Amino acid sequence: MKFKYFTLFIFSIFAYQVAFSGTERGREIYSQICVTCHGPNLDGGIGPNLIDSYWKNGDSQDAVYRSIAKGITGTEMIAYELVYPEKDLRSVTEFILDKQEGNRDTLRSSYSRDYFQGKRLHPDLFDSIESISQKKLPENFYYVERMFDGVLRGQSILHIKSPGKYRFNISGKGRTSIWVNGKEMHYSNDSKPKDTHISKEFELPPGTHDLEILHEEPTSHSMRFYARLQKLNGEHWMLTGKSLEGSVPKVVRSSEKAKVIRKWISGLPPRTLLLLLPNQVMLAYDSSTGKIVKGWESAFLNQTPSLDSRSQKQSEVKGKELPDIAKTILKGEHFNLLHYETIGDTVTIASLVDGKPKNFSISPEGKNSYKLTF
Amino acid sequence: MKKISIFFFLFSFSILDGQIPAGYKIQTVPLPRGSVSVLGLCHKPDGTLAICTWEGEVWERKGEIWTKFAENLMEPNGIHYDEKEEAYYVGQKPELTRLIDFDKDGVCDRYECITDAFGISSEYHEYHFGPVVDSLGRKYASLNLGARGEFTVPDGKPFGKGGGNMSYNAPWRGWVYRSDRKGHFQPLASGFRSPCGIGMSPDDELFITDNQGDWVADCALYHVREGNFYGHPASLPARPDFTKDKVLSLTAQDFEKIRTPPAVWLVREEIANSPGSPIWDTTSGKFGPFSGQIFVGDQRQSNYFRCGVEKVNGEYQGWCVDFLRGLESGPVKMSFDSQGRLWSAQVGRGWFSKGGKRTAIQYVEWDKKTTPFAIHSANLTKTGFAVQFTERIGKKMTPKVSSWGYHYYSTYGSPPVDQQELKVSNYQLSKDRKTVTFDVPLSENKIYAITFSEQKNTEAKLLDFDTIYYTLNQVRPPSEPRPGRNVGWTLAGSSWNRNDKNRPLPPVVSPLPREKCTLPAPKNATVLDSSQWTNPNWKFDKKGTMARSKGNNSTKKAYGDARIHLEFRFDPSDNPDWKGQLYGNSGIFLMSGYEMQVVNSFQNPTFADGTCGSIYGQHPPRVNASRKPGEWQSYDILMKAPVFSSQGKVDEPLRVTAFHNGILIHNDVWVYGEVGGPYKKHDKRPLMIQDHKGTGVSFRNLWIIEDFPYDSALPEFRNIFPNGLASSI
Repeated sequence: MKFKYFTLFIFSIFAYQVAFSGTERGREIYSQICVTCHGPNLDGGIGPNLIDSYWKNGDSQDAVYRSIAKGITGTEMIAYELVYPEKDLRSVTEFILDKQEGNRDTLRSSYSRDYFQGKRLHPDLFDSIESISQKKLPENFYYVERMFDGVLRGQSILHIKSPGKYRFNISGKGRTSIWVNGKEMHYSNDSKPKDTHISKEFELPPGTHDLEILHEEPTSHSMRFYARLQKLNGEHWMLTGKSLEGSVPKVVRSSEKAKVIRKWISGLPPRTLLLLLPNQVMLAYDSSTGKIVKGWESAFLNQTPSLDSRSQKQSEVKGKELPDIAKTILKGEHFNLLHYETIGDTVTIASLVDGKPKNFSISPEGKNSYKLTF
Repeated sequence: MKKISIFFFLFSFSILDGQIPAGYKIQTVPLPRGSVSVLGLCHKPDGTLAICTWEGEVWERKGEIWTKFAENLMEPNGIHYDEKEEAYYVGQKPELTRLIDFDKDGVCDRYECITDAFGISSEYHEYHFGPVVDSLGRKYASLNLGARGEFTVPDGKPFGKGGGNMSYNAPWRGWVYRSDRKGHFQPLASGFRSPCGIGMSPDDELFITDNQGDWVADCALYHVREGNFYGHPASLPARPDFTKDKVLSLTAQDFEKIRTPPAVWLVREEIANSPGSPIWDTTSGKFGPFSGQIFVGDQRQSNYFRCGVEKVNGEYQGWCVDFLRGLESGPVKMSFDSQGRLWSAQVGRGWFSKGGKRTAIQYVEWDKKTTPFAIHSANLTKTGFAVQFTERIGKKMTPKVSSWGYHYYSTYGSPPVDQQELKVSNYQLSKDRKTVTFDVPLSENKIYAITFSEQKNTEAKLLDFDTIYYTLNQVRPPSEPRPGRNVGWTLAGSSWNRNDKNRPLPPVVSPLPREKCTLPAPKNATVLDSSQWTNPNWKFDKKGTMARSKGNNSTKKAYGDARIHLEFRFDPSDNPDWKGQLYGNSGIFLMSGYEMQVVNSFQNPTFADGTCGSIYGQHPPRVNASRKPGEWQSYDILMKAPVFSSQGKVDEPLRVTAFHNGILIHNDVWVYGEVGGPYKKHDKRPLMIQDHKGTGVSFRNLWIIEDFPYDSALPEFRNIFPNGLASSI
């Protein structure tokens, strides 16, 4: 079992390295076909986002190719092997993989901690014993179930797009060893949770790199391990995180029918109605004050951050904030929301203002505006 | 290596291995696609299953097909289908919402805010659980405290400081409320921490389960009675007789005096860690031999357990026993379908669930023939317990009995205190071999664990779950108090009897200054002067004052919907014989049948629903804003006449909103029936003032505006007195 996985893993790295060329054809097909559902920036639409850190059907080269060629049953993703020759589909696969950044193709294994007592964590140690479990993760970060009692080994491919100096940023209880392309870049061993460790800095050329994370900490309700990859003076990528525990990401986008969304958004009052109009304008209407407090164009709602755990994290509105959008729609002292409904592209909101009924409707206007009617 | 594998094998085996009573079986239902964590479910009369999800959707399942009914809600934590209105109700985090599908195409058309009168601060833990309904169709839901915030009550005296982490960040957090209809919000009871479970018994009595934590020693099932306080002091600032400063100045011993203990402690780890909603077995035997019992699921334990309560000295207390283990995730809300199958919405997200799955929908069904061998129930006797079994027991085995108590303090949970093994004596088995009685030393405020570990039935089968836990708050008194006199209606959802002496008295607050409460008659009002009354014994003096006199006094004219103002004064008396209900008793009989009590309640306690301003026998005033005898007091009443169907059924009960001395005492309450009996169809009827034994009462400045439009006038009426709300509503 172990052997099989390992071979697969090596093979996929190899296949990757040689495959980066000729993505032009892939780009062409993507912009003709895939773009309809997955968006011009690959960030999704009708279909899932292809550059976030969640891959329901796998993000290895084989997995991506399989999804394109065989389709996904029960969705609008058809089997494109019926439409294009294999070579073209390989190009699309390459094009998609070329757009990836950070951690991808994650394999998580766990091992009994007994074997590692008194030994320094090292990949060779792991190769010589059998793992308790191995799992390809749909998320591109490492997580373990609560009360995890073992040693974690995470293996993945790092996709780097721009050259430069990188480093790891680590915190947590226990010991951690991180390897890039077969070299140890970080080792720490804390008996108590300490401040963040910064690893040594190292150069990474564009392309894919082999990343391995080894970690052990005492069993607790949930693991405290936290790791990210930082580009010096640049972006960072989370390498650990919380799983959706079997759920899938959720994004709410505009459609022909207007939508009213109730979500917890940072900085917005809890009784806000988010009005998402067909022209992708989103307005934050605070039903407790009768005011539009914020607005965005090219907007959609990303609910995924709120979907793990106890929903301690908010959903996010994505889009370009519209300036000077704040507006008092209803004037008064006491506001009571009565109801809302959408008919076609229009949202109608009924309220009581100081005991008197007031209705208004909002519909899209132009590319980035809205029309208000009483 | 082998050792490791075996260890893991056993570990996973113990998770998966359910303990399922004989004759029962668990079935799993496939979930809709997408991101779904099921928080609530209910059944429509046509058999449709509906679920609400943490992600904010409502799905319907007809046959095997799921369709999306509503979306983009905020964490709806419970769903109810209202048959009469043909609409769903969901407890969204910021509001109670009705979902209406006008064109019956299976997709919600209108999202209607029923109430958002409670506060929310954006603290993630401010969950909103429910709703459930009483037989009048009124909705009840519970409001979680925040997990973080500024107002916590960490005072752990006398056990030392610590804990007290749950926070009151916005009005009515830690409360249970009722909503009669759109725009209506009536806080019912306080003192809850994380009241995830809410259920209404077939007898219209509300029960809540709460999670152990600060101020909550263990998981608990509470019988909720209107006006009571159940233990978490961070919820108290919403009460009109408390402020934050006052709460912080008090100790655990002070709170202990006003707290009502749980009816059943749900023993941690053994029974529950995060109990969900209670549901009553109303299947008349379709779900096995446990008719009438309460079933609850636990989010952590992934089990169903059973509870039962009995009244001892007028208060419920009772038992819990495990029933079934091995569900896929953590049940939080449940529903019986028409075939008597027990469904549950299960979730393990955020809180670890033994079942291991993030979410699931499962149902449990009984084969309708096999009787499982189980402890059926337990009752307290005067000297010990009677324990019933579902089947005849084999060889007699004396149970092991232990007892313990809990601390009441701000620390997270309480360890067992004063744990003892008790001596069991006088063991007796009933003739049918199904009931065991025994004596054991009884003491109050203790949990009794009664264990029949070796007990077999006549076929030598052991029990699946051998321990029943009885919460003994009170021992049996020499004689049970008589419940209040039934006059043809019950106080649905409030769990009190008429004239219940145990009902908490309304908090005393200061009235508004008298000059602010003397309202002159507006132009459209009828001044109820001497020309308007029928009883010649009641005479007006030169100042326009009318003294109570012999016989009731009715207006000549009949009234329906109305706005009423009147003033009254009690003759001061220092005769100690004239106290309670005899110090200045009269009553304002709305439509001649519904009494708003007039009695001196200034430092003159009486039963709660007989206090000045009460809808007599039904609703105590929210607060007691009485002035001294000798001073003029005022009532301002807005009332809507009951609406009857042509057959004489009550379509809508009488509604009352009222101020006493400028302070809101009734916020759009429903009246359950006439003061002396159930509703009887009637048209407009005169306003009547009651003659009653007692010290003297006088009236003045009485006026009425007839046919006053109640609904449209209500919002403005609520605000007629600046600062007259006595607390935020």
